[in-house]
Amino acid sequence: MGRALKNEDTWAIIIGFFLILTGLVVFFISPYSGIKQENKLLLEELKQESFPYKTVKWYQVSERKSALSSSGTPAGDIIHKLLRSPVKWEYNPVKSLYKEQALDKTAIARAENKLSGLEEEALTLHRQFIRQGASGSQAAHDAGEAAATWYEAGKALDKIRKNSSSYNLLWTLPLLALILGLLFSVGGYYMGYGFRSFFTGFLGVFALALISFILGKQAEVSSMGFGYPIWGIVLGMLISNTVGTPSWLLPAVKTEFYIKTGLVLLGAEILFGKILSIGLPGIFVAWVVTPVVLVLTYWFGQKVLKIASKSLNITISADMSVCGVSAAIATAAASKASKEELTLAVGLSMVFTSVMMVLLPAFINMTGMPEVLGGAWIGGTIDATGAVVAAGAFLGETALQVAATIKMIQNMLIGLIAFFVAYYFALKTKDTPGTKVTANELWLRFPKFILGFVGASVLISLLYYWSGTTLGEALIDRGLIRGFTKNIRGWLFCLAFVSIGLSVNFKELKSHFSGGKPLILYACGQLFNLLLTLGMAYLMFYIIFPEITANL
Amino acid sequence: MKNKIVKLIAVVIAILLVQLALLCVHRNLPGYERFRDCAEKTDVDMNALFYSEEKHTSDAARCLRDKVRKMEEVNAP
Repeated sequence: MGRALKNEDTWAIIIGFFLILTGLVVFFISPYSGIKQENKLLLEELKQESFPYKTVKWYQVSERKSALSSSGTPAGDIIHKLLRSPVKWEYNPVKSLYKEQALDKTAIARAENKLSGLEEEALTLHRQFIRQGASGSQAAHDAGEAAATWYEAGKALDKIRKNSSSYNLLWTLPLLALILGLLFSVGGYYMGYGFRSFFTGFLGVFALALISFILGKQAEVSSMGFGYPIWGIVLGMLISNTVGTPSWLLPAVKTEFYIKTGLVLLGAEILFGKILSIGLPGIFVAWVVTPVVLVLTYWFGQKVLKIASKSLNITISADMSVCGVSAAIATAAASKASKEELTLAVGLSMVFTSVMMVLLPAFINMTGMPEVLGGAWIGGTIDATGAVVAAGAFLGETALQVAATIKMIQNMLIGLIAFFVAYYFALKTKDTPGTKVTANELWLRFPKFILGFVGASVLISLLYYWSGTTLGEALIDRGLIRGFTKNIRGWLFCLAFVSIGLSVNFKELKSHFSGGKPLILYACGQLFNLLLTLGMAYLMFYIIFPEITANL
Repeated sequence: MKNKIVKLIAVVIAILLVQLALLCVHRNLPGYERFRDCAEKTDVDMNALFYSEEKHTSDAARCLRDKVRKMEEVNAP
């Protein structure tokens, strides 16, 4: 027991599960019955609105139903605010932390007047239809149109209100640093780094993480896809390779500790029940192509390019074939890659993604490729999920949906791949190659945090399945994930990237890049990925399952 | 110490130059303006690493699921 408590993996699982269980109490258990009841009432109200068109009330009720979320409870709201990261800014970085309410009263009053006029008109036409009954098909059409116009105007008003809302992160950020600092310092204490020294160092690393977040949120930089990961690494490297990392920071420069805890939280976001939207064609594109590309790229790196480091090779291969930075983090942790190797993989992914996310949709448009095929191609090849959504939107609504869904199906492979990579590297790195490895030896070498990652995924998937899609979306998607785990994970990954930068050595990084082999590996692997994904997407969506494509 | 500060300033300038070069490349990519418009319209967070875009992926999956269900209902005997 004593030995286990000194282990980083154990503490990653303890802290990760402590956070997930806290989140479950706030976002799932306590609001469960209230949300269930509210959902039932809204469903009944919706049933009563059975007209041949969508009425004003229908829009109101269905909007409330689709916005049902456990983040809206008082406790959920406080936690959501506490975990908030800096906001997008253009010229003044202070705006990423603090903004006063800037209500454009005239614009709001104008929009409100317009909205109430449209509502009155829609209600009048609705009453007219009720009077005419089944014979009033033109009246039904007019009433439906008027309600839709009212709905659009309502959305525009919401947008004005949202843009003028205020926020103040100046009090939440110190509190968050304190809470996370205390939590990780307990782990640090048991691992032998000293509670006080870990805590002091943590505050310093957190401050650098905050600066990375702010830099990554600049509108122009952000639109290029260069967010906090790259800024965290750059900022850390700047310090460590010029003035040197201060000794008081060092106890809290624990890349793996933050990454592993973040990955346990990431497990909670991988829900197996959500993958069946486009059925078999999507699964084939995402789950057949990805492992094939991963294995072939790894083989290419070992046999053709002869990359000396197996861990660098697998990290770049996974990063390119699965989902970019998160896959790189998971595979690097599973293969025990060095910080320099992970840095290289992350840098390559971000640069390639930032170019591909613009060029690929432009190319698809130029060639006149069908939307579904283009969306599937984008979803299967562009690394980061955010970039996939934006690139899909470039082509159109259907392409966005197909691209994002395929990416989501692909993202689910991350746990399985990390598991197999860990198993493969545990076998490969045993002391006497060629001899049979015992179960005990394998257990000792196996990175245990992966069990936390898989465990979290299974637990939350089961809860999602058990509570049904509607409640699952309200309590888990919009509550636990959007209000809690994704925000806290963002902070943990940012702390990890700053720690990577603070401990990466330029010379070491340069040595890994010798002859540009990692770049060649990434480019060749991506080319193969592009060809295979396009071929498979065409085969699945146009030859084998054309009836699904026809209805998308 | 003086040497270290000079080094630090040199690196900061180098990073800014790299950022500027990347910005220049991006601005000149075919379709960049339209891409940015679409990203802003869909309110996508380009800093997203993974499921930070869960909102979009969930909505997309739901829309597709509805379309496929409707199709299955139409095709049902």
